[in-house]
Amino acid sequence: MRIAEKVVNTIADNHHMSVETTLCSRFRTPKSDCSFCIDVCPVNAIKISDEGAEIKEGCIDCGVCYSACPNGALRIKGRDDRKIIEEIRSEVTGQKSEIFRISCEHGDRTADLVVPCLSRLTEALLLEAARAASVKILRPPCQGCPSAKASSHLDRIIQSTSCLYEMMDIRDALHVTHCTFSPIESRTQNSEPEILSRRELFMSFSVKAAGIASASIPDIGQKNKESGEIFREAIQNRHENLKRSILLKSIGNVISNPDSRAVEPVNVPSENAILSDVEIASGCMGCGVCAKLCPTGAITQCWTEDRFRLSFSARLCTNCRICVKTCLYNAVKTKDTVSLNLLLEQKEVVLFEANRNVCAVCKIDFTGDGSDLCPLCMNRHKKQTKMIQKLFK
Amino acid sequence: MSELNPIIPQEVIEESFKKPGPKQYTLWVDLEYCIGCHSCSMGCKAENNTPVGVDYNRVIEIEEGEFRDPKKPPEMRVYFVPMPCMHCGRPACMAACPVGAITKRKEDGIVLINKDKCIGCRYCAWACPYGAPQFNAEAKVMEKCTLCVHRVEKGLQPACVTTCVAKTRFFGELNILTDYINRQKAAKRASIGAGDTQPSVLYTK
Repeated sequence: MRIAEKVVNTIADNHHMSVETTLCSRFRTPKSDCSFCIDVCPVNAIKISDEGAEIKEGCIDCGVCYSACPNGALRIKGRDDRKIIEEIRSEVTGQKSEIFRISCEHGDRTADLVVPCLSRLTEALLLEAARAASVKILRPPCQGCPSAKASSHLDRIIQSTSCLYEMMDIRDALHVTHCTFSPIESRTQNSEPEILSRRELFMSFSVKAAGIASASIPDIGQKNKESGEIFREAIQNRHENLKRSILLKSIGNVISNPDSRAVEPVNVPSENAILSDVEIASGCMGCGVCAKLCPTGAITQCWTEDRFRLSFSARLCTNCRICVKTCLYNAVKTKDTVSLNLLLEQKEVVLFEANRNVCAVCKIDFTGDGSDLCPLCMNRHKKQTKMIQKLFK
Repeated sequence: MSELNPIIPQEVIEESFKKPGPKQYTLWVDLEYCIGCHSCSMGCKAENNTPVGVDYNRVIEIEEGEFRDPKKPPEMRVYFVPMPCMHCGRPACMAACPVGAITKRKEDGIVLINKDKCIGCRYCAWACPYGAPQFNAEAKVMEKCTLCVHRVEKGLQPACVTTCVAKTRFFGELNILTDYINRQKAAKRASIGAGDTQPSVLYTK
């Protein structure tokens, strides 16, 4: 059955990971150079194009890309964060130990939580684990591991999680201990070639492929969505950044716990932070590109009768910097340091507000005072005349 | 077609269409004979069915000279400059577009806006030194001269070329046209270069 299973898996398996394309920064703008998922994928099974990230053949379902993607564009179909949180909770209630041990499949497989790769961990998981006990990560040396490429991501998670711990005043709760590397025994050992009837082969197909046909139909629809008319609409229907929602929920759970201590202010450099504090410098023309292209809906624009407003909710910001990279007027900036406490802020901040005007020539909404013409229409004639005069010199 | 175009030989146009591989279709405007009749603009409007306020092809008038001496006749001249999209070698609009809606086709060098992708932010209009991208207020997208790509693909010349009454506007491949112009009127090339966008449309005066 082994060979047949392999064949069936290769043909029928439509990946355990899925991509919510509209959340992917690379889909939303070619100006983004985000490559978190391909940088960590241990089997190079992710392809990035203008159509966003795409899972190719060879995905091993380790889920590291889910952990790496700040926008939550990559999703796990099976054992996702919510399932693991349930596992953690049942484990924590079952035992009275002071230490919650986490390991990967190559480390200590008797740990309280075993994940395929330690880089699969997310801030939310580590927060959940720290609610009841102090967390101990059993880390085998990554050099010999087939997933060694993903190891750099673990340091990033530990770094950002310890900042979150600091904010919630969970002291001394995260330890990393080294343990020995134990290769997973290959299941192919001691197996004999086996005779399989044709009926059995096709039966195994039908078992594996059940439901796949129906599941693949919306995928075909998705392919059409990516090109043409729907791009404009696709960037408007925002999908929830599940990863961030789970993290915010976990933070909320920790804080609402009666034993927890007061929240402390923590500032981190915004370079590798999980969020950024966006501000609008002078020069904003109200084009709304930052709001249109923001993958998670952290920046929103609003045109009222006579005002234009840009609002920002930092708890949704994933520090993807699309707004900074796409602004033609370099008006969007991020502050050098960001306060993690902004994650707890429910209210939106008004980034920019100005009077609304309608251009008499091109009928576009624009911001500014005392002019009937938008700056573009005002400059157009001057710009052209200046250039054409060169023709005759 | 040759009756429409007595100045440029039909062979040049045919050679342009037949040239294999990556090429750059473009226009040649001889400013010396342009009378500012706007028939290229009208032909373009009719062909592309553009709404009011959206002009793929504009004719700009430049007055030169002034009435210096009331006793002498004035030294005045009016130039007419038809301005289509320059289908630049390095399009500034393409670099500015935040969503990658503008592409330059490799096979014929035509710069096109994908209206389905365009979000109407007008960054291309800010970036273009020639004012080619036009905002369609109804559809809330940008539009611009396509070099009549639907005609060119069928082996026809752009509408503005066929409607030009003064026979001052020609279609062809950039290198073939440049060679032809250099043989005809070598000293009179006019450069419209602004920045380093490498505009492909050729002007002579």
